[in-house]
Amino acid sequence: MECGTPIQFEEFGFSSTCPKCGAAHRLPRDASGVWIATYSYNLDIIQATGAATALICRKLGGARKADFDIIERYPLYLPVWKFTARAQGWFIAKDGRTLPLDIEKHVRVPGYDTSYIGFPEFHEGTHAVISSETCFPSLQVKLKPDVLEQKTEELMQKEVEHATGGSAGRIKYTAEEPVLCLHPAWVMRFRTKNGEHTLVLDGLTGAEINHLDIRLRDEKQLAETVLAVSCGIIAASGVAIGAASGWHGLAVGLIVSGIGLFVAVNALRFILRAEHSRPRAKPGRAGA
Amino acid sequence: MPQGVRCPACGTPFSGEYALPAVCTRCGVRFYFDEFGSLVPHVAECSLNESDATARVREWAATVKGGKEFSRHFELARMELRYYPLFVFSRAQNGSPVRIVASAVPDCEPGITSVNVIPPSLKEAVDWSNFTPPKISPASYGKIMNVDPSSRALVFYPFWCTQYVYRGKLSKVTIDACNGYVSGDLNVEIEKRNPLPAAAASLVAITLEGALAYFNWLFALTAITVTGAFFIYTSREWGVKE
Repeated sequence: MECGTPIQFEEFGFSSTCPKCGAAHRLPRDASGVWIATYSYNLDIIQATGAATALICRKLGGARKADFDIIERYPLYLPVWKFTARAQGWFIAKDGRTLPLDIEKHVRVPGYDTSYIGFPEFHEGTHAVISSETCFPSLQVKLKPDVLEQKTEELMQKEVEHATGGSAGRIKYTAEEPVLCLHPAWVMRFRTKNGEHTLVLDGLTGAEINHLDIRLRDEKQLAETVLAVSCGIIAASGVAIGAASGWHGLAVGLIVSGIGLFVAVNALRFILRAEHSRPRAKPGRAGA
Repeated sequence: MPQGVRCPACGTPFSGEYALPAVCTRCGVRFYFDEFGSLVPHVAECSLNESDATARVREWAATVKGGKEFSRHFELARMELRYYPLFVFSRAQNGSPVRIVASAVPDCEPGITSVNVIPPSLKEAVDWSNFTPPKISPASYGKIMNVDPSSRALVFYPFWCTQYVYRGKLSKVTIDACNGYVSGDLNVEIEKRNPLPAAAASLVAITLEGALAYFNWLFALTAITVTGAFFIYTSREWGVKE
């Protein structure tokens, strides 16, 4: 940084050396002593707008730029805790012996409410290029450092149960070397004929973070109703034929076809949607 | 502290405390300064009172995706008037000037940076008592917003800010206190509806109407047509919130 070269830090590391001048650097700390890693933006406003436009066009089913307006775009840092979660202690094995336990893993935990913003995907080996910018709009940190140990217990429960086989013992959970990473994001608010939406993009990769479901509600609702009415007409013609002419075979066939078609289409849609909305990498898990 | 700061009004060198606003010892003007120099900020006048702002939010609530159900059931908190410090950067794009607005404080509410401001047309900010001084350097925006940080102007822009509770979730909403434009966060906008129950109801209703053919084919055909048209016409309003 002193020579102007960007310094790269390993994702769970605190110190690094400048590749050019060899000067050693550590992550800065805030007033409360928490290490802060501020990632640099890879995408500027023009690149982010281009990425958002392409994404919105794709989401709106091939819409053109004229079909929506981007009304607001701003950079926003998302606070993410990164630390080494550790479970240490002892447990009584099934044969009665007392065995030591020491498990650790790297975790990433969102420090903000992810319900509408989403959580960025991290790839193993992502390095932080520490930004010289110290203050940008950022989301409020809701997960305070003093509750990280409690969070560690939640995160390590599966691993501990797997290792101990559910046996009794005494385990201590610690969150070691927590770093508050400020992950860059772009917030794009845009307007379509159906309302206003917000898209959150990763400021490093341009990937979508909030997985916005811009369903063209009216069109989908209409399609669903038209399908139901069509199936209803098929089934109703079966009922009508059965009631008026007594051709029961044909009547039953039509009723079964109408109802069956409706059920089949909706079941297929349900399966596809379930596949699509299957949770991705869970926040807080190592390597997520 | 930046070196060589001068009062933007009278040019007197500033030697006071490093705090905003700076006050000129000679002419008494309150001004803003950073590494690019000093300037007198502007302020946009608030032209919307609290009851108008509340009315705008209720109008907005009726038109957003949650529709009638949302406007009936959301609870609005108390309104608060805040003057947000905004940097307005200028740059030329294809020969015409473009203004880019960015927040000068770390918290950014929805709609804050979507305002259309032309600083020279605004009043100069003389009294800073209601204003929050900037906490972000304009240099932070230079690279990623593709702007020249020294082109910044500082504007204090009024917003009515409030929160609402809807279906147990707290969300923010801001109202531009100059033109009444309402910006909400994502809570309502990602509302989903499940059209399946309504569609299934239409299927059952139409199927049963087929039995009217026992009396008269025309009755059955008319009933099916009317029911089908009714369901299709009202399909926007039907559906169950997920």
